[in-house]
Amino acid sequence: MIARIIMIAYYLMAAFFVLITVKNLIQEKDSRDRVILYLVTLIPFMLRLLRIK
Amino acid sequence: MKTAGTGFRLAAALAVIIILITGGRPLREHRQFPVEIVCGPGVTEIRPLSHYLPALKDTPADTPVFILRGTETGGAALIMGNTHANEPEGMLAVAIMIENALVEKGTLYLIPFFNRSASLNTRPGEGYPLYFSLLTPWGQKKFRLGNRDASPLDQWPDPDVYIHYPEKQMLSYLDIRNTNRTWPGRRNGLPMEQVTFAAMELLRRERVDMAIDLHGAETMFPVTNCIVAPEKSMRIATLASLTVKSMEGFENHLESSPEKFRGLSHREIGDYSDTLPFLLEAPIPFLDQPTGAKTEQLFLDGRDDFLLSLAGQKKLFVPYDQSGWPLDRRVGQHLSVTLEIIRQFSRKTPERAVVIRNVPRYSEIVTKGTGSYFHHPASAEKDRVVKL
Repeated sequence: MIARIIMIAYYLMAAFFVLITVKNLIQEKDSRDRVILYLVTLIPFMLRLLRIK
Repeated sequence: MKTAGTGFRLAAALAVIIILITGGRPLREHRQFPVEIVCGPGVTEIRPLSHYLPALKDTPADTPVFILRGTETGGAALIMGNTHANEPEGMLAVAIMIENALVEKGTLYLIPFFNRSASLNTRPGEGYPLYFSLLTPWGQKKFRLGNRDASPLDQWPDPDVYIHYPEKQMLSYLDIRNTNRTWPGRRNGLPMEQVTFAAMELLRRERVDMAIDLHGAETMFPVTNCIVAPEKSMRIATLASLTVKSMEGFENHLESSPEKFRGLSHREIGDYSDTLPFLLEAPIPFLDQPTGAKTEQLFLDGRDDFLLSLAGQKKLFVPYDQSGWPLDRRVGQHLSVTLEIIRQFSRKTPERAVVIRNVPRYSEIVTKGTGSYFHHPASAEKDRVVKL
């Protein structure tokens, strides 16, 4: 039961990080490096949210 | 420094989306790919494992149990494949039984995908292929190649240290997703503990006499090409080992089940039920670390130049030459040793005998090929084809 709660919390956390990373990505105007960093950071969270890996 | 304009951001986002799609799509397709098994005339019932523990129902850990009831009452045997889904020789041996076996006396319980979640898992980090195919009389038959442990998509998080229930032995955190470390399981445990608990319930409720767990191991690992058995199963295992050596000409030595290493099927089934457990290991060169690329070909023929060189230095625990260790030999060994264990038990305990026919043995599999014993799903009645 606890593991299930942690798993659900992890999906919520992943969704939260996707949202704030996308928000930062949209707002980033100065650094191309940071744009790449945000996009790379998104990949594992997206894979988990989509239940791919 | 160049600024990150809208054009750059869109182009970079598009590149990442392409990477996600091209990388993620094969993994998603693998998870949804159905392996089709055609029920032979011997299959009298199919029951989900959740029949023995309803908590597993509608979860990726639930798995079908194929039941082959004989016309005459007798004993019962449970045979499991894909406890480790990267060792699919056992699954193939069990699938051949489902498609071909006829039971005259007693009952067979067959679970081809014991850790079904592990069969939906992949190992891209080590370059494992996602599938392998066998040549059959009607074309190629494709199977998923899984991983050793259940998918983290189905059971997560892992503990820092896995404390085995009920023996309290501390094991590697990964082994909480390994269905050969979670025996005898627990009713309210994590999904893989529930899988083994449900299997224990099956053994107890159906009064199963023998449980045979089919595995594979590296050629550089000492516990390979063998039967692992605890004290109570050792007599039958010895007779089976000697018989296949004298009658069929292949080695399958004996290993004693360690008393103090907990969670393994060959230990806990014997300790927590009246069933006699056996674990069979076939040598799989594909699993060894010092090999060339982990290709489908290496999985199928077991031929590798690095292992050949190591064999020359006597670093392997099995005889190894240019012919490698082909899949047909591995599947054939599993079938012959399984049949021999059941035959020896039946000779010793006639009132609990299990009599099976129409299952190929080692020499037939090696001669005709594993694929020749699979039936074409398209030619079978739809309600006799099970997608796993």
